[in-house]
Amino acid sequence: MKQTNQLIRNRLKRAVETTAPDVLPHLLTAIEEKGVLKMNTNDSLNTAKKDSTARKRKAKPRRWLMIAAPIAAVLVLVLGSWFGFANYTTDAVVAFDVNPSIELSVNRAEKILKVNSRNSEAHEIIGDMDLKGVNLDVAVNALIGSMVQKGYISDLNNSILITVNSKDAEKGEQLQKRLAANVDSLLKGLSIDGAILSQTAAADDDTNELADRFAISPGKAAIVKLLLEEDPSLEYGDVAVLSINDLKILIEGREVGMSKVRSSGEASKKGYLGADQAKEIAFRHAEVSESEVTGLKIELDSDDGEMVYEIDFYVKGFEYEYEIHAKNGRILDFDIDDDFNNDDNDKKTEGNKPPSEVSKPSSDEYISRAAAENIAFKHANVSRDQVRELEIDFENDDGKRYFEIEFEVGRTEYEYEIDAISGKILDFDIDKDNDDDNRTHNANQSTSKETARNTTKSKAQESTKATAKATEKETAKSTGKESGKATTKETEKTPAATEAKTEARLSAKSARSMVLNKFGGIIEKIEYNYDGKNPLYKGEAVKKGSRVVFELNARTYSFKKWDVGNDNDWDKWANTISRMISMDEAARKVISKSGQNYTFIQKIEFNWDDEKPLYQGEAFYRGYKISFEINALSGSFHKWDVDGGDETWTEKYHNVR
Amino acid sequence: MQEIENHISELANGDISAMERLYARTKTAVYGMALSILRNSHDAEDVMQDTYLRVYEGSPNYQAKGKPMAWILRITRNLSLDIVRSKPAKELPLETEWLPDDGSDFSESSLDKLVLQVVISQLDEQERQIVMLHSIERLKHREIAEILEIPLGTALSKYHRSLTKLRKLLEERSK
Repeated sequence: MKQTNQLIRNRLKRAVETTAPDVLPHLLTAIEEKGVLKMNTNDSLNTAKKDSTARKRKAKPRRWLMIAAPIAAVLVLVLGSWFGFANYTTDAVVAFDVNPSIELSVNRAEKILKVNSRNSEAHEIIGDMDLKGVNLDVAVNALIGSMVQKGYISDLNNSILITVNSKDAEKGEQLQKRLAANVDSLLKGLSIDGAILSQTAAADDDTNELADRFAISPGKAAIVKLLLEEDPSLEYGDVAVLSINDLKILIEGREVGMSKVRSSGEASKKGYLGADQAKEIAFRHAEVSESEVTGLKIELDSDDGEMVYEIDFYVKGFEYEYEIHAKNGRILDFDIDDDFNNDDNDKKTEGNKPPSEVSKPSSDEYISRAAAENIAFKHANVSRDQVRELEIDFENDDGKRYFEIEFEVGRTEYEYEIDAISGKILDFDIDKDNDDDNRTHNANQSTSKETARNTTKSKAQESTKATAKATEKETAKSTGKESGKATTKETEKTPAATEAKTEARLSAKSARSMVLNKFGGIIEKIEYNYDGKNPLYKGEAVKKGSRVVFELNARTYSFKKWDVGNDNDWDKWANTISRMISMDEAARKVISKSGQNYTFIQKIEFNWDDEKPLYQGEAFYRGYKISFEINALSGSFHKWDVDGGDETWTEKYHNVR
Repeated sequence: MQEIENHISELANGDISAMERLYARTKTAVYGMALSILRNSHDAEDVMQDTYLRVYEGSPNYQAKGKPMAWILRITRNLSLDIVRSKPAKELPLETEWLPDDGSDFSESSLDKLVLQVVISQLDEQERQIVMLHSIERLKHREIAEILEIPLGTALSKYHRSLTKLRKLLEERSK
């Protein structure tokens, strides 16, 4: 049986819905037992949980910055008393982090007692320098000079973290301020506008352990911990390897509160593409223009130890998510999904296209998504506008990278595997589906299946399978479905040709009138299409307390389906409806604006978008397709996209008046 | 999501009937989340009830940020993880009801159940959570990453890997 992602998701959702227990009665009883609703959060929860299986979570480790009596300082004190000689006693440890992490232990006279290189970059900076016995200011001068010379500090990477861990807090603070000012002045002298973070701090065991594990100073480890407390989606290992410059940008972006960390200057973003360029890369890859895009969000983030732009936007009901390397512009990951998460998703789901899920590591060597689609469409001998339920996955299967493309045309389901590099068709599968209701993905139809592998034109393999389904009787009743009917590809293509010789169909306007005369209220949506053999207007209308789902045969002018059920949507709209233009008026506006009096409103739908009532739909006239949105209150057009070179009207709608 | 925030706000204002509406809107996702971690329907049921009690308790302090589902599911996840941590692994065996059936029944409900069984028995814990959240609540990958406290890239790649794995397993079973 063919398994599509959407089918799996739908099945999973239904299965969980079905198996979920009903705890509401117990829940309400438990809440009632608790008496007044507004109560102390902690006390009430504990009493309400009769069989609570929850265990208290461990308290988060406290920030090391807040812990008194630092271990290192204690050690310093102990050692100091042992030796009794101030000159050999560590009075403070000063750490410098850029990407190199270096610690200098100094005595009371600020002479260097010990140099600790925390990572290989630090070793490179220290090189042959012997700093023991050297004055701290001189040593700092040498270290900063070496970092600039070796390119660790530059215009592109101008941030440095200074951490002073002193046994005397006041003295430590003074030292921190003085060093920050000195480093700033040093960098200015080297024509670099530095960005300096500085802190006085002492590390706890946890922070020291993290510092050791990731070869950074405890000062940097503490900053990383603060950042992770603010944003738990980050991973310690990923963030620890970032430069102080990258860290400072992440901190600034998240407005992480660091009351004990002094900050001066701005971290350089010169090494990054910039949000505009990253956005352009995403738009170009998605093949969309900025004017189509809504809800654009760009955030500088880190992933796998790299700085990335996370870009999120919507185009025509699809959500795009991109992750783009902030420095070299490579597309690291992307995903395209249908916008089911819209606030009114329950209403929109039925009308939405299925999700297109695409994820691939890099765009450089691959053909585009659109190119892969076109290869499949061409092979299937279908045009893009005929295609429904389009779904695309990028697959990486044991090194074989390909696009998996699934779509439906009429009642035929196509699946292709297209090599992501060469564009070669690796596999394809065509299922001719005999059930009238394609959208339900029922697995119970008789099917005739045509399969070919590696573009060889193997003969169709016929297989027929019939299974029972409890809900099928309604569909069968409403559609007059013939069991075991052998629908062929040719059948799919014939309606338009056949229609050319037949009389005119029921017009869209008349269809709307018939529905309103029979039901009243307003039409929420109405769409003209073939169900395989009949031209139908399908849609829904609502009025106070009820909703009708209808199908109206455009050839016989008779209702094929008329299901009325309870519904309260009307109440949500009642106050606004009287101020809105009607669907007929909206349709007239479209026809008038198109400049062609035979323009056919193939689909029109009433929707609420961000509290605004809209008429949205599609219309066709010879050679053109129009996508429109009209503000139902003002009657003004929100969207008017006209695509030329579209022959749908000629093929399908020329005989509808 | 506004609808859910409204329910939470109503709860905070003493409207206990809002719990029924909140429950109806979110119960599948909450149960799916708990089940994906615990793989045990009884524990998942307990977590479900505790989740709503926590939501009830926390409603006066809830700050509307447009992500109420993430808040609720974080509660569910934390409660579920508490149970996992409190029980030795041997006390959380895979229930027999999640072992896939023999595949001879092709009714819709059986096929639905088979998908759930395969998800529960064949995917790892993180994969189960990602697939559940995306399938049931249609959460964006970014939101899933936030709830599960994982990088977006991880959420994306695990989702695609899981779906590929599921497709293969289900197709093999139906051959």
